[in-house]
Amino acid sequence: MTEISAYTCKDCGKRTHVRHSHCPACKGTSFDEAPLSGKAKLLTFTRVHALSLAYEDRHITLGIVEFEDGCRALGRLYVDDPRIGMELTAEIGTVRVHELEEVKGLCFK
Amino acid sequence: MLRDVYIAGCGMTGFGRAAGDLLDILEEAALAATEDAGIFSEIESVFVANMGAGILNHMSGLGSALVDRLCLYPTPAELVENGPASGGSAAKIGAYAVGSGAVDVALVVGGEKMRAVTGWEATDFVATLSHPQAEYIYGVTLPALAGMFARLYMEKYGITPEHLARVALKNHENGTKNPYAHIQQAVSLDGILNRPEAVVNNPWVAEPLRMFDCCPVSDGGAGLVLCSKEMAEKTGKPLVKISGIGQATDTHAVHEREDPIELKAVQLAAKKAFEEAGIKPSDVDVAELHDAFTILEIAESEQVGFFERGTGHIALEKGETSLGGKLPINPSGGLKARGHPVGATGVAQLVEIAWQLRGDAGERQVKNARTGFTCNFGGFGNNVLCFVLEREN
Repeated sequence: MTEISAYTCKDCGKRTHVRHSHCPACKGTSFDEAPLSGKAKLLTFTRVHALSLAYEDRHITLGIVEFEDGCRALGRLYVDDPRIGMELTAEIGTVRVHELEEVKGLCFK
Repeated sequence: MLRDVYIAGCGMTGFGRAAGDLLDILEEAALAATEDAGIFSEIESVFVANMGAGILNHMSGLGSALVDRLCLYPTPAELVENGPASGGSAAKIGAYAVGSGAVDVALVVGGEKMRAVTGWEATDFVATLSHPQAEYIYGVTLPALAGMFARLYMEKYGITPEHLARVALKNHENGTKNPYAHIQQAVSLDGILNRPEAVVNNPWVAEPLRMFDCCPVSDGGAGLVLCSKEMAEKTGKPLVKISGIGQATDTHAVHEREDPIELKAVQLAAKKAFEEAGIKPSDVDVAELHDAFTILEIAESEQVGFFERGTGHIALEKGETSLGGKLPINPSGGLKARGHPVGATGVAQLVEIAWQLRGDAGERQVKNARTGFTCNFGGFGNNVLCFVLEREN
């Protein structure tokens, strides 16, 4: 299974899901890469009804979460009644099928 | 800048669905601006703003294409792409070219032909500006980013769906007074919010945003002739000076912002534009803000410094931002009603303010407008340009 990574700055410990050449906190340039998963808190969400290409769903729900170490990420949300602040678990799953290929990404349940 | 830069001519095409191709749109906008200025062969540099011709129209090299259409060769020309802030960027680069003394006259033309593709292709095209691995793959759309932003902003400041709808009402009302607007039809709270059939008229796009919280997908173009004071004086028109330009960037992925509702690039771009002009936000008589989504007009009106944080929706409710109010915002109808051909928008905002300062804005004229402001919001706030324009005589 494809892993979704996060990058921890070796100088200050700041962890980000997005890969940067320089740490956004301290401008450090060396990082440890590790899979991103585990428990996270929901910061905001939206149910998207007007979808872009390659969807058969009538709508999808997207959310931004914060992991326990402060790292943040956006992903697909699979809960019926999302509420800001709720605890979620991040897993890797299929988030989109693009040109018959499954795209793997973060799924929050 | 080493010397002052003036808008000697401006013009635009009717926004909406264009009969011609993208090059026809650019030509029409260029000619509207150059005819308004009475300047053509003196043009020394051409800057074309466009975001998506490569994806939407299978075209590239638009600077050269426009120069050829106008037979302006061997005048230097290039394409400027900065997402939905392409127009603002091209205007900035044109102003810097004149302001540095490199050229005396620059032509800036923004244009987009978005209705060449289906609605979802257009949605997907705009979404390509999101972060490819951290946002785009999840099916993020710009309305989705705006929806997540709106949910937090509304909760924090007590903004209701009715406040959002009131932005749409105001801007559509203004749009009825703008012959260039994509949508020249007023809407009512009953029609888009209160009555049971409103759910059909105004379906969800990305909760809590509905269709009337989002700008339409438009074709259109806008042009500016920028020049030195000596050249501008020869036109015999009121002198409109670009007295401040500010630009700032922010994180590509929205979730990387410390507080996702802080539009830092908006705050910094506005601050720089005001500082360069040597004025305060309270000195502004008329503004064009980037209301791609209703929530953005409210948020920008606070974050550029017009209103205290959390009070933009109250100023709107009191009518302070309506035509006739203390600070009319989006007299053109904004992106909401004038439309949003992405590459053209930043230029169209400047055209509207130039018309307002010259007293050429017809039925939507803001009385005694002498100082104007624009905010052109690229990405989801990751690249923003603000301008201050002032009438001199």
